[in-house]
Formats: sequence, structure tokens, C-alpha cells
Amino acid sequence: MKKKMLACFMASIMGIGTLAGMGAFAEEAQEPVTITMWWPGSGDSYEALATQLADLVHEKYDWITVDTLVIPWADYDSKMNVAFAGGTAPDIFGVGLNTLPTYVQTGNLQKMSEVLDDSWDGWTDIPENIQQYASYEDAFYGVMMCDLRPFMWRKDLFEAAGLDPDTPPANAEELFEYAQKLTEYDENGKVKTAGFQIQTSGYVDQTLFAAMLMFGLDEFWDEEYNLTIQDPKMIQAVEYCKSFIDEGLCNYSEGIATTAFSDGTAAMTLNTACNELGNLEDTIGFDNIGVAAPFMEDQANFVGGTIVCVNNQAKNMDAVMKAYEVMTSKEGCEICGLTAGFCPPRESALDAYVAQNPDIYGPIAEILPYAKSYGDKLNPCFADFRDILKNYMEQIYYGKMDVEEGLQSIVDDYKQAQQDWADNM
Amino acid sequence: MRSLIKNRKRKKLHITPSRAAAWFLVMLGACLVLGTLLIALFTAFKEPKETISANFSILPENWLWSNFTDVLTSDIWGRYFFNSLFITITVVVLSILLSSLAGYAFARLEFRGRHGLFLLFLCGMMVPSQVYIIPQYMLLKGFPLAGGNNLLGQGGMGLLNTYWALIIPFLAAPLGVFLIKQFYMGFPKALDEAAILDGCTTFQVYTKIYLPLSKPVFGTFAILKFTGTWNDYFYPLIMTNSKEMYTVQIALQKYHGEYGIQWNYLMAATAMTILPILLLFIFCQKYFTAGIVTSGLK
Amino acid sequence: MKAKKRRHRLTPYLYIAPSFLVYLIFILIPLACAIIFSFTNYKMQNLRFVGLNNYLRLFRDDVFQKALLNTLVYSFFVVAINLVLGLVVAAVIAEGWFRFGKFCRTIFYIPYIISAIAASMIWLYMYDSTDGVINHVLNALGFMGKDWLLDEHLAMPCLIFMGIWQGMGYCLVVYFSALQGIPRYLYEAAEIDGASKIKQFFKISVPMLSSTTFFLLVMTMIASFQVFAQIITMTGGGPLNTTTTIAHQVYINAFQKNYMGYATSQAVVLFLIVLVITLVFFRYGNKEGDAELD
Repeated sequence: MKKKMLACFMASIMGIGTLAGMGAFAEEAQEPVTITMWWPGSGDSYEALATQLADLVHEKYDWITVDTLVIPWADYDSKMNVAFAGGTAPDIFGVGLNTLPTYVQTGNLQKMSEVLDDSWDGWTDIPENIQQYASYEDAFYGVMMCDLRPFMWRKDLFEAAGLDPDTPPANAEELFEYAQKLTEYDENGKVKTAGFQIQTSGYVDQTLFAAMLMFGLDEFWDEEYNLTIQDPKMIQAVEYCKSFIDEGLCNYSEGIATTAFSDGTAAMTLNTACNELGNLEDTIGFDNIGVAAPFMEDQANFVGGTIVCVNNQAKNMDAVMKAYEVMTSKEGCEICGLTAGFCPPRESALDAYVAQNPDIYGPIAEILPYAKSYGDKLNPCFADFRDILKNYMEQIYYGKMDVEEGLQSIVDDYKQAQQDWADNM
Repeated sequence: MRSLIKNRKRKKLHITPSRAAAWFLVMLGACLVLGTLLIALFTAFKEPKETISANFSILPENWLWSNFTDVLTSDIWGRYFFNSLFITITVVVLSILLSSLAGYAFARLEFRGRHGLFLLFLCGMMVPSQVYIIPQYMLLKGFPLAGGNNLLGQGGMGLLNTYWALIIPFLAAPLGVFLIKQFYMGFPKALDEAAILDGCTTFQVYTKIYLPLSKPVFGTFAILKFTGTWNDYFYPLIMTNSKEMYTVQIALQKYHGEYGIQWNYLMAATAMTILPILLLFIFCQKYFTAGIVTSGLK
Repeated sequence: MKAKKRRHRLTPYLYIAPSFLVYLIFILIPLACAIIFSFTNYKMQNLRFVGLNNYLRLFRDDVFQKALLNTLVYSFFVVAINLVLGLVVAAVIAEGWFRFGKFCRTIFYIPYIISAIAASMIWLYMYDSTDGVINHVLNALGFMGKDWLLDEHLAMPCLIFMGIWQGMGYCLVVYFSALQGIPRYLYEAAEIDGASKIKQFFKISVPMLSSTTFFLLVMTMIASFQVFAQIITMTGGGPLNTTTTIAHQVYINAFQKNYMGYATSQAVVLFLIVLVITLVFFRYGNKEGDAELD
């Protein structure tokens, strides 16, 4: 933590230094331009990310100054929405992967596929899947700083349970067996530490999607945005998740941001973001954490991330694009990886990321090309979908509804939501 | 009259069983509340690894005062505190003046549409403010002749990202108007009548009779308004576009991230941000007991 | 003479004007615009009038109906308990003989001044299923802990309890300062007549405080109808939507799902409910007639 703050401090000193330097060479530079960038996030690490990116741009083009603002993550979308409505949105801004379609609909996002020509190095440096997930309706919207979900486990708890701390489970059955061994109970028989925590409220989609991958179903919706969940594999996946609860291997879980694994109350996880590793180092310690590629087919697990987008109303488009290319260059991606813990999307930037701690970050870099989103295309009704899924998965987990009935209700409600969405266009 | 109250206070009261029971229950309640608060406060001294729920214990292993210094040095907290204090104090002082004027009119003067207007005041509070934040934002942005705008409100950023935007909309306080109105209605009407017979205008009645007796209600309102303004988070977040304009509540959010919460820093920062209100509360307490000593007339 | 009369008629409006104009421009006009949104498909860009569609949609939205019911339950309990507890504690402390009175008052008020996220954090610690303080205490007493916030029957009572913890100090402070305004001689006369403290409380304090009670009733009701910060941080509306509220739904629809128009229609329904309740309070709540409507 202190290191991060020091880095932040150093960065700001450097910022002042370069600012002072700018005056001296002003005559040979272009007209000075100030552009704005907003980034969703909380904490000093995100502050460092923003300042370092701004400094990187300023170093390269001393006539461009980037004004950055880190906005509390929870209300970022609200603030962006209001800013779009008022025509005061920044020139460059981060957009969450699943919210990209809603942002595109506001009509403010620059299609990057139209302004970046074929010579842009990103086309070859960024894996295809990551390019695809940062696209909507055949247009590419920006470089995505990735939030990957490897398999993580607690070596200390493995040892305590008599398991080999260096061998993670290799398939769904083993995961279940390990969970049985790892779950600890208090004197009243209540779960104290879960082997593997199933999310029963809030983001139920995360553990559920991981389970779907285990049973060979790799999307929630197809190319036409029809749900693919009325499938025997899906039923298996849901039953599998439910069995952890029915067998008393985990508690119901809270709908808030922290995962049970980060809270120290679960021994294994498939839904803890790589961005959390910075905090985990402070709270649990890297000695006690094992990281591996997920055991699912193709090492796939779901991906999230922040897509760096450009406002198509930006005043100095030329300067904005110059700054954009610097921010999303190899160095820019490295900064995102080293400060806020994003997995850099560029293969060229992965070395620096892995070098931080090869045991921990190596497996994450490895799974980047295999990361999957919930469907091949981003869903414009995602918020509705997530809400509907949550409503019925809760009913299933709490034993109010059987699996097939629940899945049927999800499909029905989702169709209605799609209809409402179309009516509102 | 004043001496009478004092005498009454000094008078020794017998401790009856019912009094003892009441005392015990209130103390028990206070201890429970205090307990919950202390649990939070102790977290401010913990190491990160003690803040996750698996390692929960009430007291910290080592008392880390450095959490507080870490928080303060990590950001421009001085600026945040200045912003919050400046905005809050301005809002509180001005809204006391405006609300007491309006409250007096609603309580004592007869005019058409009195009740309708009063209800309209309350209506604005009945809708979650997120709903009208967009029109509000447009209004502030398009405010004529401000922030580079022309007469038609075009061209600049208007009042956005200025102190005005964070102060003016809160000067009108339905809560204050309501509270002060209710308070003034408890005043004996005979007072006004006597003063008017003496040739006072209504404004003189207000300044000579009502204002001097308003300390308790102003104290109460100041605390409530201070708390509300100080703790406001969503509105200043939306209306500001630079760190220099952020308030302490926005700054607090940095410890509440997408992937987890840095509890120790959050609680250390929270403890610091509630200090000003706590001090104000302790300071204002004496006004609560000032009492209205005009009673004999009611 | 005529001029003087007119001036006299105008004066009250001049007293109100500063407050009212600010309020009109910065709150009421934006609010009116927002209400217009509820008849449109407003999604930040293309605006189209859709008539009553948004309102009709409310009727088939099960989650909204649940939210409506939850909001009513939450508000009823929080308002009623806060007012009663606030008054009783204020009366006990105001007696004057009470040691630590000031101290207690301060303690009870602190929960009201800490931010919603910090308050939520405290209660997440208290209610945590595995390592929460409450479960630790229960275990020590030999009882089995509960899944407080994750139990469909307990989540709402837990939030109500937290609402009392947060809001009681507010009522206490307002009641306390109002109690100081009651003329002492009333109590002294009652004491001479031999009335007990409890009788004095019901016969003098409660009636004399009716205008304060009325104020608190309206204010805490309006506030509790808009509860949502602790819901977002503590339960996210779950489990099984047992804790979602209208304001929570408004926020989700407006800023997560981007249905601004629909969200506004929900807010309008919330507004109408609160307005009706307020009007009922104004009509029947003020026996002294000091706040009746024209």
C-alpha cells in the first residue's frame, strides 16, 4: 500500500517537473492543448494509473496536457450519463465491458475502427477475443484493460485440510471433492470457511458462468441475443452450483462487491478478479495464494474490463487521438497493469506484468487469449438480463422454484425485457 | 423565570425505582450504540489483514495510528476539508436566515395561498433527487452569464464545477422552513399583538421578538442542515469536474472500490470526516437548553 | 390607505420570496421537467412521448410491486419506532436529574451523522453470517447464529433495526430542544396537584409537543420512503427482492438499465404516495389546527 502511495507521489512530482519543462521548449511545440480523461475506479492505485497515463502522454507530446479525474466506481455510469446529456463528457473515458452497448446508444462513442488505420499495432498485438469483446455492432470501440478471473486457491487452507497445496482441482468433480474437504464448520455446524463459494445474490452470473463452462456451455445468449440457457448442460450447471448449497458446503452469499475469497471465508474461487490481487497481497499474502489457469476447457473463464473510449464530440480530435494511442500503447498498458492490476491486453506488455511475480501473474497472462464474455456479442439488454437472472437464480438457490421452471421464467422475463427495450428505442 | 429554572435543576430528586429503570434502559441503549461505533472506530487502527471478515476481532492487534497519516498524506485532504467546510458553513448560515424569514411568514402572517405554497415546499423533498439531477445539471450548465455563458446560457460551463452550484440550490431548506415555522407557532400571539399596538411593523416584530428567541431552533436546524450538507455525496459528485472541487464525501468513496473495500482506511477517513459535525453538535448543545422563557404568556 | 393595504398584502410574499425563488428555480423546475420525462422514453438521446406506457408497465412489474410493499413496511416501522423511542429518551434525559444526559444525547446522534457507507459497514460487521458480532454473541450464549441479511425473513427486520439505530438520534435531538420550550409552570402546577411523572408526560409533554411530532412525522416519513444507500451497499435488494425499495428501483432503472423515463414514473408513484400520506397527516394530524390546509 505504501509503495503505491509513494509511486503516486513520485508520479505527481514528475508531473510537476515535466510541466515546468514545457515552458522552456514552448517555441518549438504546437499550440498547447488540454484534453480530459475520466476513469472509473476507487483508491490510490487508480489515481496513480490516471496520473501516470497523463504523464506518459505529456512526455511524448509536450503540447498535450491531460486533465484526469478518477470517479468513484459505483456512480461512474450515473455521472457519465448526466455528462452525455449535458454535452460535457470528457474526451477520453473508460467504459465497463458489459455497459458498452448502452454507452454506444447515447451516440457519443467514437468508432475506433474508423479512425485507427491498418498500420495501428494494436490490431496484431491485442488478442482477437479481446478486440471482439470491445466491439459492438461490428465497430471496435477501444482497447480494453482486462479484468481476468483465474482459478485461485488458499495454499494454507489446502495444507490444513491435508491437500497438496500445489495441486489445484482438475475438473468439476474434483472441485466438489476438494470443497467437501476444505469446508470448515463452527461448533453449531454453520459454515465458517466455504470450500468454494457460490454467489447466491448480486452477481450470480459469475459463478454460474464458470460452472456452465465446466459443463461445456460457453454463452448465455447467441448471435441473435436469444438466451441459450434452456439446455441440458445448463440444467447440469445450475444443479451443480445448487449442490454446494444443498450439501452445506457454503453459506448464502452477500450481494456486495467483495468475494468470499477476498474476505478470507472461501478456500477456492473462480470469480475473484485479477485486479484484487493488490489487496489480497495485503490481506492474505501471496505466500498463501495459488493462482492457475481455470481447469475448464480451453482454460476459459469470463472476462471483464475497462474499455478506453473516445468521445466523438471531442474538440481537438487530432490531439485526442495522439494521446489515445500513447495511453493504449505498450507502455500505457503496462501502467494499467502495474498500478491498478489490470491484465494488459497487449501481448507485448505482458512481460512487465508477469515480471512482478511470475507465480501469481504468469497464469493470468496465459489465459488472456482464452477469456470469454457471456456471449459472442455484447448484449444491449445486459442490465435487464443480469437482474432477471439474479431474481430467478435466487429463487432456485433458496429452494422456491425448481431449476427448469426457473430457467423458463428467465427466458420469459427476458423476452419481455427485450420487448420493453425495443419499445423504448 | 430564569432563576426559577436554575433552581429547579439544582433541586435534588429522589431516585425512585422507575427512574432507575429508565436510567438503566437509556444507558443500555447508549452503550449498545457506543459499542457499534467503537467497533467501527477500532477498525481504523487495524492492519489490512485484520479487516477481512475471516480474521475478525473487535480490538486491533497493534494500534496503527499510521492509518490516519496514510490517509491524510495520500491525497489533497486539506483541499477537500476546505471545500466541504466552506460550502457547508455558507449553506447553513444563509439557509438559517432565509428559512427563518419564510418560517415566520408561514407561521404568523395571513396571505393567500399560504398552505399551498408551504406544501409545494415539501413536495420537492418527496422525490428521490437522482430523478431530477439531469434537468438540474442542464440548468446549472445553461445558467445565463455565468462561467463563460452568454445571456442565453450558451457557450460555457455555467455554474458547473463552481462553489455556486454546490451552495445556491441548498439555500432553500424545506426542513428549516418547516422546523422554524412549527417553532414560531408555539410563540404566544399576544406578543405580536402587543408589539404591533406599540407601533412595530411586522418586520420589527420579527427582528425584535422572534429572532432573539430563536437560538434553540437555530441550533437544532444548524445541526441538521450541517449534517445533511456535509454528508451529501451524489449531488456534488455529479456537479463537479475536478479534484479541486471535490468534497470529503466524494474523497471517502475512494476506499470503496469495485473489488473490495479498504476498511481500515475507510474508517480512519470516516472518523476524521465526522469530527467537524461532532464538534458542532457539542457546541450547539448548549443552545438546546437555552429554552424559551417567554412561557408565562402562553 | 390603499397603497398601505397593498404593501401589507405583499409583505408576506417578500419574506418567502428568497427561499421560494431559489427553491423554484433549482429544485421545482428541474423536478417538473423530470415528471415530463415519465411520459417519454427518455434514454439520454432520442426523446419520444409514449403516453402512459411507463405507468402501465408498473402494473406488470412484480419487482416494483414488491418494492412498494417493502417501502411501506420499512417506513411504517422506522417512523413509528423512531418517534416513540426518540420522545421517550428525550423526556428521560430532559428530566435534568439524569447523569450523562448530554453524553447519551451525543452518542445517540452520532449514527445519524456518519455516512451511509460507513454505517453500512458497521452493520455488515454486525450481521455477517460467519463472523458477525451478533453471531459471536449468540454462539457464546449457546445459540446458533443466523444468516441475518441473507435470510428472506430476517433481512428486512435487520434493515429496520439499522434504520432505528441511524434515525433515533435525530428525533431525540429535535424532541429534546422542543421539550425545553414547554413552560415549566405547567409541570410545577401538575406536581402540586400530585400528578405522577408518567401522567405529566402524557398530559403535558405529549400534547405540547404535537407540532414537533407533526414535523418529525412528516420529515422522517419523507426520508424513510427514499431509503436506498444502505440497501445498495448491504443487500442489493435481495434476498429474493425482500429488501428492494422504490428508491432503489428508481436508481437501478435510471442509471443501471438506462430507463430514465420508466424510473421517473416510479418516482412519481413514490411522490404521489408520500403526498397523499402527508395530506392525510395535515388533515388529521394537527388537532390544534396550526397547520391545516385551506
